[in-house]
Amino acid sequence: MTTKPNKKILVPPELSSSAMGIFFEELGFELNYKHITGHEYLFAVNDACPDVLNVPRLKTKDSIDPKLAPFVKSFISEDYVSSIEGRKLLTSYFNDGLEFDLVDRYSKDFKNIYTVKIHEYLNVGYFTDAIIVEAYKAKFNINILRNYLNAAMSFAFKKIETSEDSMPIDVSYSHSGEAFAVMISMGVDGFEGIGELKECLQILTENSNFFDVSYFHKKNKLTFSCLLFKDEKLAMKSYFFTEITNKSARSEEVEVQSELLSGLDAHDDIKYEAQKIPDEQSKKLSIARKFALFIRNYRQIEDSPKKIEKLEVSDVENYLDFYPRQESLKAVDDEIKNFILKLLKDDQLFNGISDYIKKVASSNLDSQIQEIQRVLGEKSLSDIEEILIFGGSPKNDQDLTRVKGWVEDGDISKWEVKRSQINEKIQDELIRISSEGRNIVQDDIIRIIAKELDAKENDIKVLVSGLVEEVVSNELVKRQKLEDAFALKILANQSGDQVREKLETQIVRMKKIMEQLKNELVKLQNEKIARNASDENTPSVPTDGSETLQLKAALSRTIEALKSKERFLEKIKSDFELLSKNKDLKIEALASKIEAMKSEYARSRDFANEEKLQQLEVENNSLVQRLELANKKVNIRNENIENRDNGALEKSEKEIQSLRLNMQKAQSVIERFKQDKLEMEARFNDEKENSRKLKEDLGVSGSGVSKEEVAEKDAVINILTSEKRASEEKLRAMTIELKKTEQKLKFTTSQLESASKRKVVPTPGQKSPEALAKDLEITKNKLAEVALEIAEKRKEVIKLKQENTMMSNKIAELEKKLGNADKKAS
Amino acid sequence: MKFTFANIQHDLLSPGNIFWKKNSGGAVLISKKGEALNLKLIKKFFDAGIEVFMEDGIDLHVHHEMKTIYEKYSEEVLMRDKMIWRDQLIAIFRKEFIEKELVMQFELDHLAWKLFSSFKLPEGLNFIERDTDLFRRHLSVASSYTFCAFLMGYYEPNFLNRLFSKTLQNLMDLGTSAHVLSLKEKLEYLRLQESFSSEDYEYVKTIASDEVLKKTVMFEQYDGSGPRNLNSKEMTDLEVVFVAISKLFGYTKESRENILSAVVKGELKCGGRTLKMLQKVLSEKEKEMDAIA
Repeated sequence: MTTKPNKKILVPPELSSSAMGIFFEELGFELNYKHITGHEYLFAVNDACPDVLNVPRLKTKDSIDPKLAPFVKSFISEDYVSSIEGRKLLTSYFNDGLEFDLVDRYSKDFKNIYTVKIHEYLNVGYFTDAIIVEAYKAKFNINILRNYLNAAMSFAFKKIETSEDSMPIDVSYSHSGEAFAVMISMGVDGFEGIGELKECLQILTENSNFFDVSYFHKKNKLTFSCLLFKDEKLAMKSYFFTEITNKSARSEEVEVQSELLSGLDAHDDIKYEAQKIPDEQSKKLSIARKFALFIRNYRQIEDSPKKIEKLEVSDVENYLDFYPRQESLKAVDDEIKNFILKLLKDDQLFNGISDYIKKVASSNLDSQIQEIQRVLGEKSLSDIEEILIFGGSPKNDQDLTRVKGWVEDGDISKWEVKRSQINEKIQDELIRISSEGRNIVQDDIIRIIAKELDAKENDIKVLVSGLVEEVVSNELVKRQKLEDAFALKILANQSGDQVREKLETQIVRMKKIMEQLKNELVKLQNEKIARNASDENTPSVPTDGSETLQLKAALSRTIEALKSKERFLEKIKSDFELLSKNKDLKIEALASKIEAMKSEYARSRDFANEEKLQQLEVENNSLVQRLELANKKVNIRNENIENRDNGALEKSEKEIQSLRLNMQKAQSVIERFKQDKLEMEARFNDEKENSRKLKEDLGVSGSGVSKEEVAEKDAVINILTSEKRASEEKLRAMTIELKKTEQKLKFTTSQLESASKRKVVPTPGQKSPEALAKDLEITKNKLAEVALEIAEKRKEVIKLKQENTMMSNKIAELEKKLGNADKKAS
Repeated sequence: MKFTFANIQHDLLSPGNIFWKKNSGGAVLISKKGEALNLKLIKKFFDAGIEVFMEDGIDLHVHHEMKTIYEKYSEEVLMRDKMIWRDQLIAIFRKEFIEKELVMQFELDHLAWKLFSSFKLPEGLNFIERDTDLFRRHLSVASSYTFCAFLMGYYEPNFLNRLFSKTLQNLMDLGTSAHVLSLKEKLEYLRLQESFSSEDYEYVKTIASDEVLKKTVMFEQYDGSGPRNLNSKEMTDLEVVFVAISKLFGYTKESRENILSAVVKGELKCGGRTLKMLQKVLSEKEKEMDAIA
């Protein structure tokens, strides 16, 4: 994004010449000292134009006019401008504007953004831990981060608890090698700005390098973003309060290279280690020395050791593979390995270190040494090397060569005897001295030994280093045991197989070493015997006495050393056996636990315990029986229904046939009746014609049939015609009725047919047998009704027939009468 | 697992093809898989002891297992242990919905109804009565949405239940005044738009009231052309996923593969980051479960 043209800010005059002012100018801001109405200003810095209150204020120092304090929306400490990181961050903040996203920005280098959702205040601890673990892995200051997260989360939850229908809090975090960023966003009902945070703001700002609060009006979303630099020297502090009405309206989503990860999936096993205290380097020294000593001793029993000048780091690694307690090698990094190599090659350095460690071991309370430790704490091992060689070593070269040759001291046998006593004595003395609060210095040890051996202190001096070394290494052995106990704990967290494998390889390795040592021992013993024999054989030829003595002494020393080593190894072996036994027991316990869990799981898969299963089986059986019974019942019922259906069908078909016959008969009767009617009409018309002629004749003749008679006949004829009409109408009505019944009949037959068809191919899911039976009954009823109707019609037809005959009789009578009248007239 | 009435009595849609076995040996289909379940009839058959069987059904055993694990997940108070249950559940999802080929969305819907639904049976029947296809589509959206939320790290069971039930209810409440057929057509048209014009917006207004539009992201577009002008950067991750899911499920009858496999195959278009995270959650579990085993 390029800088916008309108970027005016109000600054106090003194700021323009300061680093901050110059930085603002570099950012593209236009610095103004006076407020001009009508112009728009982005913000005002510190006390600039105190009368202007409608411009958000940014402060760069703690002290500001109290009158203006309520208008402060942002704070940038002056350290920001003096560091590159701070400048970069601010440039990005002011230039990217709404696109500025801390978590995205500080993830690009490291690719991953983690996200978690928190629903409940009760779960905050778990998720805070997840974030802390991530920060710890990336070596950030987790104390500060935890303080920040605790404060921010408690504020966030208080905020959403008051809002209705709240959504979970969304937390995303990321880190680059440079900084760790966390963004907490939540949906709220509203946000009143800086005042709402109160004292919380102080904590949040204190425990972060950059703290931003943004409120999105449109979505009522509040986000807290924080950035923590890894470099703790960057002490800059800042806070920003931003209100955003609309985020970018850009259409296409800007694809960030980084990947989003669910923070819930971070299951890596991380073990917290207490923060390294400054004496780390001296610890490293002692570790390096311990292993250098081991390698030196090991090289003594090696068949053909590589020349010390040609040793390389890889050789050191090879040697370390033979070290009995491999767990303690964890602390050995490349720096230490290189240093071991140096120690092996450089005796002077080795002794210098030994001397230093002696001091450390003997006087934990010595403030001077603590001071040395503190100084050394910040140095690398190679720095220390220089300090010890050129500055601090109390030995001179001469002494060193003499140290090497202490075995050449004549009084060896005496020394061998006294050695253990002196050792004890020194330890007692050390305890006494340290209990007195005094520092144990080399002189003390020299004094004790001199007293013990009745020798001059100066002569003793050279022996001291070897002795003290032993005392110190005893101390170290104790520490190692502690380490073993710790190792056991770690092992307990690992799976059984892994532990077993580890232990087995260790035991094999131990056995190898044991065997090697045994062979060596046998060889040496043989040699000794052979030499003794040869000594006996040649007593008369005395060789150089001192040489024999030396050889003897050397031999006995070697044997002694080997024996002690063997004892030591045996002890270690038994230790390991015990350990492996314990491990086996633990593994068994775990296996049984797993079995129990498995069985539980299996049970859960079967949804119920066996009892329930049995119960269910019994139930199931009874249900099956009932099902069979019901099936039988249904079969019988179905058969019954079919039989009944068939009988009913036949019956109804017969009835239909008889009905049809009846119908046909009735129709033929009606036909005949119609013909009769027609004939009758024709005859009646003829009669009418005749009677009219008769009337005319009578009227012409004026005699014969009396007028009354004619009137009577006319009346009769009228009655007859009206009766005829009525009967005609009746006939019409009857034919209509008949047609209706015919249709009804057709309908019922078709229904019956379809019903019978359905009977043949029953389609379940449409009509049940009961419904069909019902249908059948309905049809039957309908049939009965139709039969009744037909019977009635028959009756009517008969009535009409009777009437017809009556009428034809009457007509015949009238004809006769007419004939008589004709006769009379003639 | 034997097919009994108890297995389906709380179901709304048929978990498989359910047949009535006739004495003659023939079989008559009573309820088709994924269609409305004729519970009354099936109960009658069961009560009468008539043989009823299911084919091509969902694996009731696995579903029961998932339900049991989800219950344990829900009841667990300690987050660490809760996450272990969560991992187990996701491992089963992987096995059942991704590694098996062509497992339909319906199976996931059926599971969601069992895990997250707070609807009672009559309410569900009302939904079906309105329109089975519309209901099935909305159910697919609600269940996919809830499962994605679960994968994204929303872990609280109550929240998930609320998310599922509210989404389904709101979807079903949409356009109740319009006729179902025309509503489906309108919604299908809007679904296919990548960006809204003002005409489209008028179209939206015929379906949802202003009040509804103020609250929902149902019609929002990633480019901000929706009614609330929210672009993908302003949306929460849940909203981003919801928009993508709404676009994925059509209103036609055809059923599609389940959402989890759509996520793995990258068919869910919800922006690279969210999709990648979902994919990661679904894929990384495998190793961890192997390690546990």
